[in-house]
Amino acid sequence: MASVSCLPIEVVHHILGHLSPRELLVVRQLTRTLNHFSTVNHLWQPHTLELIQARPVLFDLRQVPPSAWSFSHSPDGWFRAYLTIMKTSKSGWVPTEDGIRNTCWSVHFTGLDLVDEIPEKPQAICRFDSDGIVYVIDGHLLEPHKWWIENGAVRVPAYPALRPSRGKYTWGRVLTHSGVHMLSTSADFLENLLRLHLEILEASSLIPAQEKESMTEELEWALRNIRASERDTSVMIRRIEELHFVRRRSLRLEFLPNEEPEYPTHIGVFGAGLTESDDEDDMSSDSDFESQDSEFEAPQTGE
Amino acid sequence: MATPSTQATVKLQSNDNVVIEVERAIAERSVLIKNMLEDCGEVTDAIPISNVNESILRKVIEWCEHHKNDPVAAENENDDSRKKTTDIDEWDQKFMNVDQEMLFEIILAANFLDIKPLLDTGCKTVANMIKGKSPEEIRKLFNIQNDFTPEEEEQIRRENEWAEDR
Repeated sequence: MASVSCLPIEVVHHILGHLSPRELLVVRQLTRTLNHFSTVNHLWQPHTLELIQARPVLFDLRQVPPSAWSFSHSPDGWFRAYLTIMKTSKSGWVPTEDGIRNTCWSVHFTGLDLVDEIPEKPQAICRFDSDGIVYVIDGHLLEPHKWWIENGAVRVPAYPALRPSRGKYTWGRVLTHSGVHMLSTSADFLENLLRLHLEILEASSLIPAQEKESMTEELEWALRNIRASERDTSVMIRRIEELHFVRRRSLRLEFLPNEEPEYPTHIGVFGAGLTESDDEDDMSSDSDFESQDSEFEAPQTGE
Repeated sequence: MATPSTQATVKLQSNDNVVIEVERAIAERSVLIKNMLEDCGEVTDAIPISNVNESILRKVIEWCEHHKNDPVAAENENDDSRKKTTDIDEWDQKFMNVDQEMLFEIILAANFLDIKPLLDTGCKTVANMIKGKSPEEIRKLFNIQNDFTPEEEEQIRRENEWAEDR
């Protein structure tokens, strides 16, 4: 009698190719064989690349050509890459001087916190400079201040400690105290993927030296480009604005669900991907959504 | 050498030895048969379809008849829009509304006969049966035995917890 188990491998792969990540995760739990089939690279590479395209916070990963990663050299390398990104999105981060230096942040004063009053653009964008001063590079003029790290928080004189957490919608790094919400890009995703990349390289004895070399070259080239783009203030302002927009839009969708989402023209590039997580999440109902803390309360998720 | 033939019908023989005569254009929805006819030119004998029984062969022919005027899809398997959608047109949905055994037989036949759009419809149908269900429900639906050790199951559950988009 014909049953699932008598289907040839290529047909099983064809079926699995029609499933979303969420559904593949369910198939992984069925049997050992199906776990193996539903974890393979040719299914997870496209899902991982799509995830990278859809999430504005992962802009730096977009600059790495997929062939530069070692993930294809492990049978489940791309699944592990996907897992690494998702894991990072759910993990806290710890501010260090190195990590904060030369980063740009949107500044949002939460005293005004009626969702429909979050402005389309951040009230200010500031930069923690390498000379230990934080100053505004766009928006409201705020006084430059000294900054330092103290007890796992970022300090600026005369203000409460800025505690780290991660944005629920944006996956960006967040710093908050009672009156301020600050949002930034997150280097953790790239750092963690680099770690996985090296781990796979080290574990594989089969990668020819030549290929290793060209992968390393490609990756180094991409990393140089990423660093260069992060030094460009106008590029960083655009990215921060985009993250701010994602957060604003998600909060409005959550709290003002009847409102038509709007796409401001200054955020054209990634606009197409922004609905991705909403669409595929047909299993997460609205109540599921509301039960979680909003970014306003931004709990400290530092681990 | 491929000599264009004017032959209007071909005979197909199921593995239970039933010969069915079909329009050549319909039979040629199967890339396997199309290539065979192109290679052999005129074929008057029944073509044995060794992996497919009569009822499934009739079912497959029914599908090919309905779809005989469909444009032949571009052979671009890696086209990105391809897999995302599991929409199936209404006629195909009804066509695929058969018991599980027959569904898998149709998929196997489509795979063997190399009828990509039919294979695709069959695979989408199975994918749709999986969607929105828990592992336990899927195991029950397809009669699949859980062969994990509790430790393995725990390990996958932990990984999945991280991987889920919430």
